Amino acid sequence: MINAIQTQQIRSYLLQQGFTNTELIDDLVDHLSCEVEILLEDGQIDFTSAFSTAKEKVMPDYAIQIENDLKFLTTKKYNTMIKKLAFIGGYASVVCLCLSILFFSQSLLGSKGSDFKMQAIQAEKYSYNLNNPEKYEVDSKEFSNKLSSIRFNTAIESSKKFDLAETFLLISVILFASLYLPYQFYSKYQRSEESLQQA
Amino acid sequence: MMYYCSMYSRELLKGILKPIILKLLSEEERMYGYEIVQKVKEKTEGRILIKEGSLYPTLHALTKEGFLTTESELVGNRTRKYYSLTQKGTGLVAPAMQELSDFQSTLYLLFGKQKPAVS
Repeated sequence: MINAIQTQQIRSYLLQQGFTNTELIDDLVDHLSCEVEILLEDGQIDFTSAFSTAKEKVMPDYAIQIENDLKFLTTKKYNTMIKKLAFIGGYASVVCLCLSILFFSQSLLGSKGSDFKMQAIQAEKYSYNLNNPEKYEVDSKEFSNKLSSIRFNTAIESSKKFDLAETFLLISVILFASLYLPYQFYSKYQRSEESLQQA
Repeated sequence: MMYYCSMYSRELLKGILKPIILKLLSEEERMYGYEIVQKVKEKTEGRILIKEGSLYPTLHALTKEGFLTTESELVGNRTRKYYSLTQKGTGLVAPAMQELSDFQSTLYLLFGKQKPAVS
């Protein structure tokens, strides 16, 4: 059985390697200790050599990978949930953006449509005046009122649609910025961290 | 990167670690990590050597999912964690063995060799 100082040496090695999960550290300390004890029992070998052989056997390439695998295995469901949420957010953001573009274009088309309407009314008025010159003064007011009312209604409708477009654009930006962007940033950051650690 | 070291490839062994652990723990009341590695080595006559890099993440994942439970004991100067099946874990053993057995039968259909028995 290895002594307390040697056990501490094994623990320190794991901490030095970047292990933080105490449960995993306990497992690995016990595992490495068992390996070392077997090696010490088997041959004429000192603790340092036995420990170095055990390290090679248990963690040949990249020790902290064990903890990374553990994190991956135990947080997979959580990650999948975040991923789903981020993608739903991304899609919702795109849908809102499309709606925003639709309402914006409708608000523009609405004013164009009203222009055509007014031109038609003016043409109607012109031809009416030509046929009834005696009623010019009276009907002129009526036509003006008609034109103003069309202008007013169109302006209200356009402004409503523009408001809707603005709201959808705002929702789209909020969804994109609060769900999709942080997820993309987080996953790319994690990938770069992993590649840095492996390098 | 998970790794195994045995006469079989890593890809081939990747999916059977959980059934192996469940099976062993259903036979023994409780086991610690090093013991599991040695038991698998002994039972398979050294053909399957589970690496610690695969074993502990899987044991911890099974514990987190509620299939295993742990008991810590002080052995000398260190803490030894014994793993054992929970009720939920015990319920998983039979379906896992059945799935593995079905898989063997399917492989038999594909490759036509003698069907090995899963006990």
